[in-house]
Amino acid sequence: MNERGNLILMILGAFVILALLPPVIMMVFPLADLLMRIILVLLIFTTVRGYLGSNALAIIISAVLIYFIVIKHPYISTSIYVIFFVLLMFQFLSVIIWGIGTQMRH
Amino acid sequence: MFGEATALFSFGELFADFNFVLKIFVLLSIISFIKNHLGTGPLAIILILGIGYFVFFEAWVFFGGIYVLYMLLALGVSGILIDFFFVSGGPAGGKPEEAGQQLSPVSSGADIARRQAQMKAAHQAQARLGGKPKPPMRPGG
Repeated sequence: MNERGNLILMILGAFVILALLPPVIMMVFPLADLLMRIILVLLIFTTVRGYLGSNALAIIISAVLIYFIVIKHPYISTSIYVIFFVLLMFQFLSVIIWGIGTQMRH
Repeated sequence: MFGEATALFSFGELFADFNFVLKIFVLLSIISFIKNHLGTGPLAIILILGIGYFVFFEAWVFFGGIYVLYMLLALGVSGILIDFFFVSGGPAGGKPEEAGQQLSPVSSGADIARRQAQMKAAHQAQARLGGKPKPPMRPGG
């Protein structure tokens, strides 16, 4: 039972480390900060334009979202983006779970 | 940097901001859904206003939660849960084969390596008993 608890804690700890990694990288490397902000701006604008089309309302809503997501809370947004849109979409978190599970069982 | 640090600790402001962002995304989903089905006529605008009022002012707690759940499922969180319970659901500390259970329906590299080692051992035992082992059968050979 203890080993199973350790396994769960190890997997959750790996997720926390993965979530903390993007903000730390952004704080250490300013160029990465700029790059992630540009990626977020492009993602937001593409998403809103996909929903509403190319019109003035899309630009206004994009501006509001960019203020809140990119300017006001860049670190949390980047962390959420990397965890949910990059790692989760490409099933990388499954690889992490599988790897930690295999290592813990040996 | 320090502004973000203070924002990290003011959880109420952070929650309010992301709640507002979530409302914008829900509004975009409503507008897109109605525009795809009805176009941009007056009926579509009336429906957007009606559904928007109901979702944002009457039952936002319910629809906000549903939207977050929908997004998480769309991004594949259920796969993560399945993996998580496959990995953590086996017998604690023991080998799964000893307990007669299989952790995953999919063979892993370790399974294949174990099977190859067993086949090699069988070949060696056969060679020790009866000389040269037979080559594998081939069609037409």
